[in-house]
Amino acid sequence: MTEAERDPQDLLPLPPAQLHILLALADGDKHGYAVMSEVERMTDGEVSMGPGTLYGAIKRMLNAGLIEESDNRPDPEMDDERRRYYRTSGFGARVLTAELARLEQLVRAAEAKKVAARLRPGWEGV
Amino acid sequence: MSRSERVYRAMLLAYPAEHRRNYGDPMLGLFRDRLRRDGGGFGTVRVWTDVGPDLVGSAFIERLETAMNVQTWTNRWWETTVIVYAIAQVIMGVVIANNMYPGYSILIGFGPAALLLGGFALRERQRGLATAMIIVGSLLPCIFWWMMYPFFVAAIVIGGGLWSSKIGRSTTSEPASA
Repeated sequence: MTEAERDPQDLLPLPPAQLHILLALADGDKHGYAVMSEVERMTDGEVSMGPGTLYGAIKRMLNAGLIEESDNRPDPEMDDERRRYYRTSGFGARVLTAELARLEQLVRAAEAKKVAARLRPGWEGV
Repeated sequence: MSRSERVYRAMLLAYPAEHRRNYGDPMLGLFRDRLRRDGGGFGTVRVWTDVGPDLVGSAFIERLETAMNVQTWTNRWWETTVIVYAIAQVIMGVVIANNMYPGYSILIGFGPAALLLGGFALRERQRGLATAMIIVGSLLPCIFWWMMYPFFVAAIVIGGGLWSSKIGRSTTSEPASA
C-alpha cells in the first residue's frame, strides 16, 4: 500500500507522545534534544519527555511511516555529526491534521455541553 | 564521561538488545544534553527523578513488546531451541541416566554444556565451533541411550541456527546519536 492510499484514521487517536512529537516537527527537521525542548516549550514545561519515552515513540513513528530520518542539518549550534535528525513524512502530516481535527471536534462537543463550566465554575471556555 | 552518564549507560541494559543497538547512543546523548542543561547539584537530582521513572517504564514497555513480537522469536529461534534442548538433556541426564547409569550423569551433563556453547557460537557466527559443539553435545548422551534422537534435534538446531543468523544479518542496523 502506498503512502497516499493509507488512511490516517487508522492511526487515530494518536498516543500523546506521538502527537507532541509530530507537532514539534511541524515547523522543521529536528534532532532528539530539539524535539524534547520544543515539546517543553509548547506545553510550558507541563510535558517533559525522557529519553526512553522519546525514542520509544520515535521508533514506533518510524515504523508507522509518520516520520523519517532527515539528512538536513538545520541546527548548526547544536550540530554533531552523530545526531539524528527527523522530519514529518507526508503521511505523518495527514495524520497530524486528522488528529487535530478530531481534537477540535471533541473540544467543540465539550463546549456545547458546557462540561468545563459545570466542572469548574467560572470557566467560560477557550 | 560523568558518573551520572556512566550509571545511565549501565541502566540502558534494561532495554532489549535490539532497542539498545538502535537507540542506546541517541538516548545517552539526550541524557547528556539534559545534564548539560539542568545538571549540577539539585539539578542533577531533578534530572534523575525525571529520567529514572521514564527509563523503568519505557524499558518495561519495550521488553513487553519484544516478548510479544513474533519476528523477534523467529530471530531467536535457535537460541530458544538450544536452551529448551539443553534443559531437556539436563533433566534426562541427571534424573533418568543417574538411575540407569550411576556415575555417568556428570559426563552426560557435558552434552547440554556443549550445546549451549554451540548455540552461543552460532550467535557469534562461529559456525565451525558451533557445528562441532552441537555434534559433541548430541553424541555424548547418544553413547548411553536413544541413538537417533540427538542427531535429529541437532539437525534442527544447526539448521535453525544458520537460518535465523541469516535473518539476523538482514535486520541488523547501525547505532547513532541523539
